[in-house]
Amino acid sequence: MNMKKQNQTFLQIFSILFLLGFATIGAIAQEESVSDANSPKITGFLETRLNFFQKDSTIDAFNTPQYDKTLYSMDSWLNLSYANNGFLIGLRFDVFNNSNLYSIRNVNTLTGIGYWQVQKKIKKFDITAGYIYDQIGRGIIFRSYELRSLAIDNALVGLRLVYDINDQWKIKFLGGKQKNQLTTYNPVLKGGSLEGFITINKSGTLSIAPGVGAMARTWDDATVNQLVSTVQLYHPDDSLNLYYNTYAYTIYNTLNFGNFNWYAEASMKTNDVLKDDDAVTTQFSGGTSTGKFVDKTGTNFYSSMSMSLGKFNISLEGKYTKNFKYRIDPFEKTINQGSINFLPAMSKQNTYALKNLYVPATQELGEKAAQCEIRYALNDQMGINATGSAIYGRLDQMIYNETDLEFNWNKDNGAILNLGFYRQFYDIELYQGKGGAPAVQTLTPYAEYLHPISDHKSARFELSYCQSKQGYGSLLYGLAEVSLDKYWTIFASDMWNFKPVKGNQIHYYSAGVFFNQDYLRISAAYIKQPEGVVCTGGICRIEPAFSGARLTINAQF
Amino acid sequence: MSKLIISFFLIFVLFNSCQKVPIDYHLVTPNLGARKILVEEFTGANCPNCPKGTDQIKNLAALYGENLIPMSIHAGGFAVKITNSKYDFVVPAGRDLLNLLTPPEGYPTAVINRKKFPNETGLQLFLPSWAGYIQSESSILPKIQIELTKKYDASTRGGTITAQLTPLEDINIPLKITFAILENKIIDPQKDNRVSGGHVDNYEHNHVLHAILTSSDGDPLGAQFTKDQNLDVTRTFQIPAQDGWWNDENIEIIAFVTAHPLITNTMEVWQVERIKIKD
Repeated sequence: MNMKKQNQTFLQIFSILFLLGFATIGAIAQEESVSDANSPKITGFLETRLNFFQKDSTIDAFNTPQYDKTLYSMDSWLNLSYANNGFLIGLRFDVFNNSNLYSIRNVNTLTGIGYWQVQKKIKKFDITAGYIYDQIGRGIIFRSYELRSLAIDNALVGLRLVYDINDQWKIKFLGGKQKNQLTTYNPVLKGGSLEGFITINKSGTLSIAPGVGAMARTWDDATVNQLVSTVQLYHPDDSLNLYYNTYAYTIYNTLNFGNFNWYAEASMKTNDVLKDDDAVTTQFSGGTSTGKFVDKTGTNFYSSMSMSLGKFNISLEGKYTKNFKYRIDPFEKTINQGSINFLPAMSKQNTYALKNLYVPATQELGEKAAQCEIRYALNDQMGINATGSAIYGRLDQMIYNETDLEFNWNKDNGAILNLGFYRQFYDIELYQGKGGAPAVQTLTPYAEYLHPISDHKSARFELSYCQSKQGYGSLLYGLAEVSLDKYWTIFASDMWNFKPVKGNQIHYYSAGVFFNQDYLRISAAYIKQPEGVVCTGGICRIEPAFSGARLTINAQF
Repeated sequence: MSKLIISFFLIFVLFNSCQKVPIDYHLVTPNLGARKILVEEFTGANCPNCPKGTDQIKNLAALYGENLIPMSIHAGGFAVKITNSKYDFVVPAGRDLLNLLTPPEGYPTAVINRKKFPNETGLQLFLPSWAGYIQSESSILPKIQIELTKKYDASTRGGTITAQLTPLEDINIPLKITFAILENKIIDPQKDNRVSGGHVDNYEHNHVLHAILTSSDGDPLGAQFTKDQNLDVTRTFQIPAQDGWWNDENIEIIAFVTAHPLITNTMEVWQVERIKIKD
């Protein structure tokens, strides 16, 4: 969609909002006893990030247009939601100025409507048109979602119809194209699901929530032409079959029995063209190399269970993945855009800085993984949390494992103490493509203490030490954060790479201030941050080194 | 219950309508025309993924022969000396080209005819796209022809290179020309994640950019070109003393004509040619 069309759409949506607003005023004038539920309501949310770049070659924060030329970037999203008479209308205005969010080496400047949606429920029939965020099951065959920190916004631009068959079953169909920043990809997606919720016993303690789903992708001619022009030059040994359509199916169920919860999902995918960087190719020039398109079917099994046994809380997760990459663009021109599905991660989501240095990305072409978390409550205030995970790669080799033992103490006076010990094994060669680099092994003791001073006044401290002879080497991290009153918080931190594997010692220090009000949160900080791989839920993005000031504004109304 | 049965039926229909429609295609060898393709590969000795890209260029060169002209530019974060490196392949011209063509998002990466292809985020392209774009560029008829002649004195290691440009149609667009000196068969270590240890000591580096004889983004040629009216452009060059590398037996000079970016808003390569300085 070009900019003119974007603006037209923007005007059209606002026209609808405007007209509906007038219609509502008329309705209120005629009937004063309109309930709150039917009252028109406009809500909004603004998120703005401003970066001011300051070149610092010692941490590799240089040699990008942001440091060399633009010196400034802005990423901003303004969401508006309008609800009236059963209609829900949503709109989002996106602004990217000199942004490096989608492309870390380039300047990206785009402005326009990043999202709009109209939803109306007519008795049992629910209609949604526009940009749709949704998933089938756990998202293994389809998930459209937005994750701004990783530059993911793969909304389905199309139509969704949901029909409540009865109180227990509903059926859903959806179809459209996948969003690609302010445009769409050309291939078409269509699919649906049938989901139920059945209570087995009268007391309601035993229930199941079964579901089946399918998601089809049909390539457009341009994609097919580009693919054909690539693979028709393959050596005969590497030739493969191509299909216009690929289908993914899934069947899933959640079983609830008292404090026991078990989710299981089995999925398969018909033949698909996958970019496989490790597949051996035969060269016309003689010999072999690696990296080509392959034609493979895919399978995925995922299960999670949790149970509560008195003072124990236990959760287990496991996943088996084989060739389950499902992309809208076989060429994967941009790393995080274009995923149709989402494969759950099998590593712990960490909060502390030094536990987040090496996060494994989900291996879509092959992975066997499991993780376990056990929490034991010593008493009302104290508990122990033990976590472990292990991930094996396509060749059944260990590519990641971690164990974390944490002690938590939440005192009556509001003080919180967390002490832990974390260890990790991370195949940096596989995850970051660093050929010949030894796997990273870390040992990280850490501590966090929150000390309440008075109402709205507190001090929080973090201290952690990462010992490693690989990767970044050994680091020390300290943070002090003081809430001065109800509104203001200041912080300062330093990550000191005191024993780097290469180069000199480096300090990555930051300091800043937060302002918090009911509807507004503003933060301003001076930051030095190394280049690294940032991951959420197994999806990763290379975050370029940052040196400079960052201002964020979040407001809701 | 009837609604449930209908729903199951709909799901059944949906699943059964899922037929795989095959795409008919045949393996081909490219039709070689008069258009030659410049492939600017960005690499570095410390780049473990880059040899995969180099192999793909070599593979495509086996198909396209003289119609595919690679230039290997050592620039960017991976372009540093590694264990046992004798040579530093980083040259100012390479840095200039990295800035001109914008740094890549990842490696292997190459720029094909400096063209911004539809639906691509920039000029830098990841490996899977190369073959298709090279094929599509190859099918375009050239608007200009380049014929290179050289004079080289091995005793002084100096010489001249002349590009005779022949417009194949009237052209009213400002163009530029670039001459670059490359060297083949340089043996020096390279990271390679396909081999045990990830390091190859005696890796053969080819088409390595040494220097550019014009401005890095090319020298202006003018804006009016008449069909079949030849235009000669000559530059002098001096090859440094051989010191393990700079072996004049392995030196080649390439010349390519590009659109003028400031006026045409594109840097597309219109034609490229190469010549060895020693026969």
